[in-house]
Amino acid sequence: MSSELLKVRRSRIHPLSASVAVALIASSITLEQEVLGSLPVMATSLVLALLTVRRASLIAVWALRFLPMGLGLGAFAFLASGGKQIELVPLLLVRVETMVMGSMLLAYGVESWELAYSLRSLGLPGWFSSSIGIAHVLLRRSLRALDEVIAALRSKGLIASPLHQLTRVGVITRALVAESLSSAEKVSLALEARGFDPEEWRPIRPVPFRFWDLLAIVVAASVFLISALL
Amino acid sequence: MLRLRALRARRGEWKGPEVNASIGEGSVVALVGPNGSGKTSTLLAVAGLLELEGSVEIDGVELSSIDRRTLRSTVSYVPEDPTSYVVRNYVLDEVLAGPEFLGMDPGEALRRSLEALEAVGLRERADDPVEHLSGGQLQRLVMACSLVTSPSVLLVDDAVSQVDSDGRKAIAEAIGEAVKRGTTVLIAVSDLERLPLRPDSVIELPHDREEELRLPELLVPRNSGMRAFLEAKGVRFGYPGVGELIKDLNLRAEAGEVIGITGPNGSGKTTALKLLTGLLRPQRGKLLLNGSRPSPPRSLYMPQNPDPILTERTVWEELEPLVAAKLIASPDAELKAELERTPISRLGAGSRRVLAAYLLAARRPSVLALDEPTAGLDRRNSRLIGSLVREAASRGSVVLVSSHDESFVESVSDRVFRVEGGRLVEL
Repeated sequence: MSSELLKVRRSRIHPLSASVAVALIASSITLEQEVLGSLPVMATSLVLALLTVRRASLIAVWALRFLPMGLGLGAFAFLASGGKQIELVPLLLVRVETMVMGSMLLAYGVESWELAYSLRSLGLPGWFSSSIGIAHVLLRRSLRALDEVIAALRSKGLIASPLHQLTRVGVITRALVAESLSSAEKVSLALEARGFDPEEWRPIRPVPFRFWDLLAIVVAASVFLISALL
Repeated sequence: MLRLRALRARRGEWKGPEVNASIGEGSVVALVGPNGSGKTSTLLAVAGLLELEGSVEIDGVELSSIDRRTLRSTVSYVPEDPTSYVVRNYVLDEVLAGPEFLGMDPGEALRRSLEALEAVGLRERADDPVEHLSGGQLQRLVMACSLVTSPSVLLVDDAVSQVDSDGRKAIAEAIGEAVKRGTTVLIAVSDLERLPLRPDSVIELPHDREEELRLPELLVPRNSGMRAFLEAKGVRFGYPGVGELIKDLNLRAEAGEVIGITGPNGSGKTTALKLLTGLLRPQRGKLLLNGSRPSPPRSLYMPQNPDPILTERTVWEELEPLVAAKLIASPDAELKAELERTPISRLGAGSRRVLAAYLLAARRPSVLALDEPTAGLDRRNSRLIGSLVREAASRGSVVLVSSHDESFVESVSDRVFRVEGGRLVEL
């Protein structure tokens, strides 16, 4: 019975597939120079996120949170063009949102240590693979901490309403960075207390591939080829 | 055998109290002291995770001479805050991490991990995400992680503060089994009554007076005729992947009432508090605070880990806006200077919890919810929290207190409820 438990895969998408798919989506959206051409890439990113994360509300929340960043970058690019290229505003907004949705595959579809196991299985050094895995653990924690930080800031009257969050990015970021640094320190102590040595560390179980993992790469690769050729 | 000779933990220039002890194989020794007395630092130093003066010997071998891997399989440390220990996203994976890091055979690692989960009553939750566990369940998980490597020395840092009575019994039995196998246990606690098992001897640490946090008096602003009225009717709520946790929450509470909420780990106490303060939106039912949906800043919630509330660098920076708004008394020059030179990062866990509760209570919310406010606190700090609760109620707030500390809940509450089957049942 029990040895089967070691074969259970936690990631909804294989970590390597997710990494490749996100890299291809990022490349495609960077290649596209027009808003219309960018929309199919964003749609692909959204569909893959929906299939992997299966929580439309979560995707919508993150898309909304990054809205000011997309608009801000767009406005900056518009001003840098001497006020001549207004189309840069929607283009950069679409780029940012596409990346946010694509990143969902890695942030919510992949289990942190399975990402490290997968990289290790490729022959990458233990310190590198485990660092990526631990960074992923910290990312997941930061995503969870964000809600706590926002709730705390609302309690202290620093954020008046959910909409107000969009204009208080600096305050939220400062509190989140402090919380993330504290979290990183705790994780470091926890790993040390349990004898973690990146050089000696060996994964305890495999991370099997499935048909859908391959399909995600094929879809992302197709979008990339279309973007590159057209 | 664990021998501590003139041991003093060190954090930069700070030095902990001197500890001398000789603890035999299969013995349980309690390290007792108030918040800020240096219990955690002492345990960390014994575990080789903090610098120290003096010496620590394990089975006659000096700590610094033991190679790292042997040390980690010999000494296990259980932290007070379980969230600080978790490095993986699933329950079984978390327990497997220790054996994996020590290079144990996968089959053996799995067998031991399942046994450890069974011992703390979490075997059924093996495949659950860690984030679905409550604070008390996390403490049980961390205990399983520490027992899985069958350590010779087990260092437990007040690690049952959020565990329900069944969990305490399971943890006491699991530690008892380890003791029978010869494990030496050093368990830190601020109050001997909170110990899950009877110690063979006790080491008392002196109180570090510098740690005591002095705060200005709360003020009653003019026009303070606040009349809060909180009403929940048929409230239902569930998390994705977990199912419905709150099935029919009903509550009527008026200004000045203190409502105590108890219940076993994972029963939904935290979820109930978050719903009643508007941090979670009910999926069904009616929830009104003075006729509208509760939300900050009218309803404030202090989480089990209150650190996110403390966003400033010093205690004074946290208090300054409250002084300006005349919500707290202006401190005299001496106290102000003391608060200005007290960085938040230097405060102990107990003082941080008290400060967070104070900051929220001072804002005079209509509803103030405190989640496990006395976890890990000594008697003095518990009394401070109790005073804050009563003071907030006397200023017109509805105060909700969720805790496993039943004597605390009974002492501060006007009515006590237990979460059972997703409902609030008045006791």
